[in-house]
Parts: sequence; C-alpha cells; structure tokens
Amino acid sequence: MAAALAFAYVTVAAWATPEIKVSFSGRWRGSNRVAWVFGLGLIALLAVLADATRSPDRSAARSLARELQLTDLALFNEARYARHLTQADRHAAFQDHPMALEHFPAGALTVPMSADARLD
Amino acid sequence: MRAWIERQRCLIDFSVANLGRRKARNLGLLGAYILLVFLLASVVLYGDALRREARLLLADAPDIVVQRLSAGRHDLIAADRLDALRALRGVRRADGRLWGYHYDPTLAANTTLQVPLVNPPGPGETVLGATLARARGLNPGDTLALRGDDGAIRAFRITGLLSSASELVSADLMLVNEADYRAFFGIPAGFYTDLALTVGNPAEAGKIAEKILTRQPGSRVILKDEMRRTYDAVFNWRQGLLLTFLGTVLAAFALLAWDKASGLSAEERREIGILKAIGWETGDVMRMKFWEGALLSTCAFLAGYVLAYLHVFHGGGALFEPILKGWSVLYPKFTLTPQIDLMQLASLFFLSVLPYTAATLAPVWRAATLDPDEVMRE
Repeated sequence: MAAALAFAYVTVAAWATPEIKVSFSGRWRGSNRVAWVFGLGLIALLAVLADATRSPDRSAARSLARELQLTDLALFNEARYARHLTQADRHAAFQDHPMALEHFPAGALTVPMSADARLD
Repeated sequence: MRAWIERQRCLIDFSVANLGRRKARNLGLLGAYILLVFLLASVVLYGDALRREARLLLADAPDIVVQRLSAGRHDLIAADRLDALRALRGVRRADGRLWGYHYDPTLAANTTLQVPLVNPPGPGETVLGATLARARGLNPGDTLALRGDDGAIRAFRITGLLSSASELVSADLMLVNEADYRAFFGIPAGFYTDLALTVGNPAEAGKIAEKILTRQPGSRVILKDEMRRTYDAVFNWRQGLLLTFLGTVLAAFALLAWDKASGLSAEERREIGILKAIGWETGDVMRMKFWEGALLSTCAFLAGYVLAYLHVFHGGGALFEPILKGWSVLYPKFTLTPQIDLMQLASLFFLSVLPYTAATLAPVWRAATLDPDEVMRE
C-alpha cells in the first residue's frame, strides 16, 4: 500500500511538472506506464472498498431464524451431524462406528471442539 | 524534492525496461504471483464473510438449548421438564421444539421437518424451503408425498415457499403442524426434540446452564455463545480445511520467494557489474532492484486482491462452492455480505509484498557490494 501511495505521489508530482507531461503521440516513459497501471489498480481497489460498504437486506432470513428458533446454517445437509453442527454430538470422527472413517466432505471442514467449548 | 522525484522516475524507467527485456519470464512470474495472492485473499475473505453471516443470521437463536441424552445419544425430551425450567430464576421463556430429519429417496438427501411455534401450516399442509422446492420441482399448490415412520404415505399440500432470501438458513426446511409432525414420525404427545430457553439477562446464561445440569443430570445444554463459537471455528481461516488450503498457497509463495532470494542469474550479476563499472552506486543498484520487486509485487497484490473480492462477493465464491457443497444435494443459493477489514487488507499486503521485495534485495546487495571487475569476471 505504501509503495502504491508513493507511486501515486511520484506520478502526480511528475505530471504536475509541465516539461514531462505524458504525450499521447510520443513514446511513453516507463514510469508513466507504471503510473497508469497503478492508477488503474488503485481505482479498482477504491471501487472495491466502496462496494464493500453496501449491506444487502438480511431481514427476511433473520426474522425467519428468530421465528423458527433456528440454531444453524443450512450449508452442510449431507449428514445429520453436519446439518446442525451446534446441536450435534461433539464433532467426533468415527461416531457412526469404530472403523468408520469420516466419509462426508463436510466432516473434513469441521474441527474438533475445544475442551471448554461445550458444557457436556 | 523535484530532483529526487526525477531520479526515482529514471530508476523506474530503467526498472521497467529491465523487466521488459525478460518479458516472458516476468509475465509468467506476475501471473503466478497474482494467482497466489488471489487464492490467499479469497480464502481469507470467504472464511470471514461466512463467519460474519453466521453471526448475523443466528444472532436471535435461542439463548439456551436443552437436549436429553440417552446412552450418550440425543433423545426425545419429556415436556414436563419445561415447567421445571420455567421455574428457574432468570428464565423468561421456555418452548419445546419439534424438528427432525427425513431422508428423501427421490432426492437422495436429508430434509429437515420442523414445527413452527407461530403460524403453523394447517393439517395436511406444508411450507417448503426454496432450495428444497427447486430441487423437487415443486410449487405452491402441488402435493408432496412422503413415507412416514409407520410406512404409510402421507401427502402434504404446499401452501407456500420460504423466502429465497433466507436460503442460507432454510434450504432444506419443510414446515408442518404439530399433529402432522407427531403422526409422521410416530412421536407421542408430551415429548419434544429439545427445549429452547430465552433468558432475561444473557450474561446469566452460563449460571442458568450450570443449574440445569445440576437439576437435570443427563441433559446437554448448549449456549448461544457456544453456537457462535462453533461457526467461528468452522469458518476460521486459521483452522480446518481452509488452513490446509491456505498452507498450500503459502508454501507455494515461500517457494517463489526462496527461488528469488537464493541467487541471481549470471546475466543479472553481469548487468550489476556493468552498472557499477559505469558509475552506478550500490545504493542506486539497490533502489533500481527495489523498484523492480515493488512494481511486480504491488501490481500482483492489487490485481490478486481485486480479483479475489470479485470472486467471493460477486462470483459466489465459485472455487470454494464444491468444497463447501460436498455431497449436499440441497445446497442453498446465497450471496455474502461484502466487508473489508482494513487490518486484514494491510496484513495481506505485508504478507504478499514485503517478503518478495525483501527477497529480491538480498542477493542484489551481495552482488552490488562486490568489485565490478570481480562480478563481471565470474
């Protein structure tokens, strides 16, 4: 970021100097080309920062979760212990039977609960 | 100041020309670098966004959920426990929840049947989650027939669909009324799946949970804070599968930086020797090489980060969807709430730009401090 800002400063200061203005007819200096690339990059970054300030409406999902007293996201519905992660037994592997390896991909995403994470 | 600026511009001119001389090599390097930053930033942005989404949507989850354990497994809980729980000081409300899973052979997927406390559907009616309705090709007015616990086929008329804006929490939901639910699963009256408590002061939830465990041994008590911590842990980019993914990316990045730091090509060393021989100072050579590294890495950072943002918040995290989806048939359609943490942005910048720039300078410094004659003769 610091380097990008330094570039922006160097470029603006250089362009403010009349004798080294960018000429569209002549051959561009390397530093001018760099300034253009970084200028565009910074504009894209600023656009991303501006875009990140919008907040989509989540009221429908929130009120449904409140009404139904929901406790979990419906992301992993492939296994009963992954559908309601917070309500399942501790996310122990081999919970179906001793030799059962974790066979659902969602099981690979979940991590073992820390010792103090639950009261049970 | 103007002289300093002009000097830096000349060094940048030279660096750009230098990069241009090995165009294919440097473009390849830039491409690989952009890909690394893109993957790194995507993992961090996606993990953070999902964690935030879970916190936001589940902010109104029950303060305490009480389950009954039987032989170490979650079992139905008797309704008479509700009165004992309501009598506890600090408990404002206690409700019995009815929910369960039904394996739908048509979809080869689990659906979640639930009884809403308010506005339950009428007898023989159901309200479906948008993902489930889409997967089954059902619309309001259609009938959904399922085989119940007793083997009998039960038909439910679909009276409505849950809003598609809530798919992240309702993808596989099927809402029915209490009588239908009990008949479908064969659950007698007087039993619930679990009990949900609302407490007056959330700070007292822990104390109330301890009281419940003392008075009703054999229960499992789950606090709202624990639910939040569960999702924090699942989507934490420093844990689980995301860490594995991130580790691979960081290892590739370390390899790139190491390759750069381990030495210069003979051509580059000769070039440094010539520059020194024609009067360049060590500092100038270092500055020129600094600009080379900084140009490449900052350019890669800007492009990689912007692409990662577009991928996560406008492309639905398409690269991660297969990982999260796993074998889920009823995978919800959702968009994540965009947010950029400036600290996180700064960390990514320093993690991706500084090591590379520093790695380029180390071998240059070694070559630039040698005698030009010695460097050119090597």
